[in-house]
Amino acid sequence: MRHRKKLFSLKEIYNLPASESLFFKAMRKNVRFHLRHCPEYKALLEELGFSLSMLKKPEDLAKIPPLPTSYLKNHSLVSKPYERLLIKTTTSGTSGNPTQSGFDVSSALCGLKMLLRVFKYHGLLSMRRTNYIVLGYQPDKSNKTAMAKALKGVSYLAPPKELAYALTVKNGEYELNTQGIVDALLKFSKQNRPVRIIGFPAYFKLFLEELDERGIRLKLHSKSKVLLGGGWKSFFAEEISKQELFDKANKILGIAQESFKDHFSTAEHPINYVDCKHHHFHIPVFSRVIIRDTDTLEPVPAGTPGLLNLISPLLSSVPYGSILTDDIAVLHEGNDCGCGIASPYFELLGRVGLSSIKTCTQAASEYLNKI
Amino acid sequence: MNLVNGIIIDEAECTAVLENIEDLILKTLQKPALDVNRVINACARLVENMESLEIMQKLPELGINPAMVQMYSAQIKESLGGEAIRRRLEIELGKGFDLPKPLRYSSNGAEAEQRLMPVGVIFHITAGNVDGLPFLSLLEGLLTGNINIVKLPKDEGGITAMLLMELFKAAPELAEYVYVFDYSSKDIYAMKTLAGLANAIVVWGGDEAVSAVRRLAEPNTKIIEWGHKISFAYVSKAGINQASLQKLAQHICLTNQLFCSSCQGIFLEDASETDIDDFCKLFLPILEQASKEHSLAQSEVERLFIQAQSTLELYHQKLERRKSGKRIFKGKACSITACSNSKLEPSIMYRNPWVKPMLRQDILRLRAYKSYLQTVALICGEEEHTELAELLLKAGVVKISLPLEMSDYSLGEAHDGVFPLRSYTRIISDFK
Repeated sequence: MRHRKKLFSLKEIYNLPASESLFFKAMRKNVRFHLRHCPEYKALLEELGFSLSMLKKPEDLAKIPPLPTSYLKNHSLVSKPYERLLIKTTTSGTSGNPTQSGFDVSSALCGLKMLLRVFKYHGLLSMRRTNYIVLGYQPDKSNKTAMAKALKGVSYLAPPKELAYALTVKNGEYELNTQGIVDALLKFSKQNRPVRIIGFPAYFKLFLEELDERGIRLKLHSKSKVLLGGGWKSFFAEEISKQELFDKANKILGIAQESFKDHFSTAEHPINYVDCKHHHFHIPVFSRVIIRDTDTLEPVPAGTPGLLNLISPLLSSVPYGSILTDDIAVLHEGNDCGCGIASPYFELLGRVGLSSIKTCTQAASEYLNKI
Repeated sequence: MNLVNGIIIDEAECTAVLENIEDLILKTLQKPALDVNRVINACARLVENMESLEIMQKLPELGINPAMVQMYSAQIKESLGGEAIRRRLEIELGKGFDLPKPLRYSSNGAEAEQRLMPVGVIFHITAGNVDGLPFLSLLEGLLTGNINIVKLPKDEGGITAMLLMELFKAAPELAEYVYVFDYSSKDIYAMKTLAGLANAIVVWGGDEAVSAVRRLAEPNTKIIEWGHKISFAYVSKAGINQASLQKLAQHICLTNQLFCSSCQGIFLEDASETDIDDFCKLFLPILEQASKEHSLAQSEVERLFIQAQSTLELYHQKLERRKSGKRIFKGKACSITACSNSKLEPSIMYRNPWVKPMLRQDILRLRAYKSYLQTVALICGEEEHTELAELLLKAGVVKISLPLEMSDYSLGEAHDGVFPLRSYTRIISDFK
């Protein structure tokens, strides 16, 4: 796995051409490792007519049969004993069959390196003590969701002074803590200290509306940041664009558009995608993205929407090297963005209509529907 | 869209209505009974003006396939014209249904009369898979003189309210007999309140909806269930011919397998695994051709999301085929899944039927599926028809159809084996 180690140590995180050969080798090793250590994975791939010898050049990575996230919810595939993993995560804490995922020690070390590099690149690391509004679950022994863990992790990017959670535990159940968040925001706005708001966009919108209704106008510290993630899809029905949300936040909290950062990651593919200044998810050297035709599953060129296939050699714990999500996305050439990052970026268009697949974000949206 | 007393109201007003809806209902009940002729005439007016109605222009905008709009419009014209409704009432409720019938008690010679009355208040919990369903369901309630409360399905698009407004233009007095709400079924308080007011609950939808209503309703509330059904084609070797298969493919693509009466799959009689595979190979190009002729969705975006869903599901099945033994025949924008078992199940829908073997002597075993059974397109040799139809009907199927006409409705035709209007009425006797 030395190729993986080298890949996740690369400093130029958006220089895809330079990482091409390394990425391919790391990926090939990753598949080989899982074929050897996960008999179910081996049987599955053989059944689909795949053999390692088919991976000869970088373009061949598309030939690795991607595992659909829906399949992982019903089938447990591990290459190392699950109970011995360093960090265990599951998707969807509230409904549906959870997918077991997690990091062994070596994956976690690579993941940590990546996290620091990506967040540093996007100016999200700070030594200054910061107040946090966490628009997500308060950590609790009962909650093992990747989202809860990720939020906890993200809150270490700048040393936390105080944290307020949108979903707090009361009598063993999660509850929306609207008043608590409003109080915290009012309090934080009076301190000479940056505020970081992190979590689900759906909650962010809800709280902005709540503040707006109460006629509250704040000017948060100029170094404040909003880091959102995991669920623009739930906004499709409401047809609210990121831009509208930013404008609203600017009006109500005095947060500038540059201070918004969107984050994308999944339990099955825990790569950190942070958006650029034009709010696009460029692909870092740690992963590759293939968009597949919605009928034939063949790769389609940039500009054509299809199913999002995420590829990365990060995990040696589970054979999730190539994952087929239930998201519809489109890939764009890096230069179309104009932010200066040359690597291509993907745009999420929405989720296919499978009601049997529920994700963390949808479960969170369900909380919103209950109030 | 919420509609009470012929006026569209917002959520806050709905809450107020919910608080005193019982008084409103009692006020209506105190008035003389609803004259069914007023409902019939209003429907007739609606049909006359059909072409010029704003709503007909809006249907394509709501994402309804133009071919389906044409079909609906033809069906509505055929079934809602004045004469047609009267015929339907007579077929379902009997000739002279609106006249009292004398009764004489032999014990003491006392005389009474027996006549039809509405059940009272009907709460319609409607589903979203058939366009315009809430309107048609409540119309049946109106035709039998009931007060109707309708819970709209999610994303209904306003069709019901638009049609009702047209209806009320012709007969304003009908307005107080109709309450339309778009409460979520998760709104337990609203659902329980409305269910508590109803003499009967009409529920459209899947097992989950039916079970939820059974839990919601008090034991003294009648439940009329139009639950999900599974329809299929039964093909015998003697029946296989290009023309019939083409028609079946047309039906599959026209309805996208979304209706209770849509063909989910094909039982091939006395077929070996090779027979099944050969049949799939024969049927796939026919299905592909039909799929090419009828667009899967109204817009490109819609097509993308629908197709992605089926493709993911098919791929999922492919990954599981070691265990399931299913064989997938993939065509362009459609597929056929060959199975070795004879289990009746829904398909992935959207042009992805299954093909399974069925022994003639096992047809009766389908009775295990009880009320799931609905329509069967019987494709067989002429001399086999009587026997096969008899077996299928005995198993519990309620309609034997031609392949293209599976989802067609004929005036006065029973729905899921019963006359709905009978369920919405009661027969009372009254001493003279």
